Amino acid sequence: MTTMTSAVHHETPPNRRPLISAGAMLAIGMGGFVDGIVLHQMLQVHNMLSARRPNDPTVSAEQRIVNLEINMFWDGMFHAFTWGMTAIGLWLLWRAVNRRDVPRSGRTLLGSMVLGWGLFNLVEGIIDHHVIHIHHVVERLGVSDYDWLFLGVGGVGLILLGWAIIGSGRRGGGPRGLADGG
Amino acid sequence: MRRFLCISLLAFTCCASATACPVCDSDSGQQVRAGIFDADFGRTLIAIALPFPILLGMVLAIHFGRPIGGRPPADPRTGDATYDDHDKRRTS
Repeated sequence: MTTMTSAVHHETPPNRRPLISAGAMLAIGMGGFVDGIVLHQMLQVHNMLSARRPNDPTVSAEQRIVNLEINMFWDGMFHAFTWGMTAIGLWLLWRAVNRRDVPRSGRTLLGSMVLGWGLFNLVEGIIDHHVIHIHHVVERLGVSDYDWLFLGVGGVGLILLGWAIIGSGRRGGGPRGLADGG
Repeated sequence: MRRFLCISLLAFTCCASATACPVCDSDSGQQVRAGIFDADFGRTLIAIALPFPILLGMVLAIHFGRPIGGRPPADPRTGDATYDDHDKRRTS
């Protein structure tokens, strides 16, 4: 048994990438859910197509209802994609924790989730708010400081924070040998 | 209580918002369907999906990149190891 454990330890250097990618993917999905649940549904500051299908006093009451329903459909489509990303993240996490060369580091997982959330905010923010303009953080203001805050703090800020936490988790956990039961 | 429930049920089923869903058979429902499945449906779908393949590509780049190490494997004889020991093993 000792020989087998030793062989595992010597042949497979630790690799945190599978855990980082799993955590990032999981948080990309969960970050999408935060966006959809908090900004679209609870605060209702924008919807998926609110720049094209406005829900403000510039349109008639009946048209607002129709626009809201259309936005609800596309919000649902967005949530379907984020659900898919979360499911892939769970699958990656399951694979990662079953690999002997992947250290089970809580700090690495936390850091990768913060990183993933930041990636989501950055990519979604750039594409949806600034390039194709299908919506903005506070729709009634159009492109506003909130959009830049979303990119700066919610995007770049979280990516840097996540990267720092991942770096600090370098000594956390440890690869598991056969003795750990895999 | 029964009267309240009847009035509520009537209000919920008769008001415009309740019949404006994509599968509702009403004028508003037809407008919603027409608004969703219009000539731009494909373009809208691509626009909404666009961030996800990009994010997927980023995660794949993280996943298949050069291994990022963690704590080195413990020496089965002593139970501990340092990065120096680990690096020596890798280079030898």
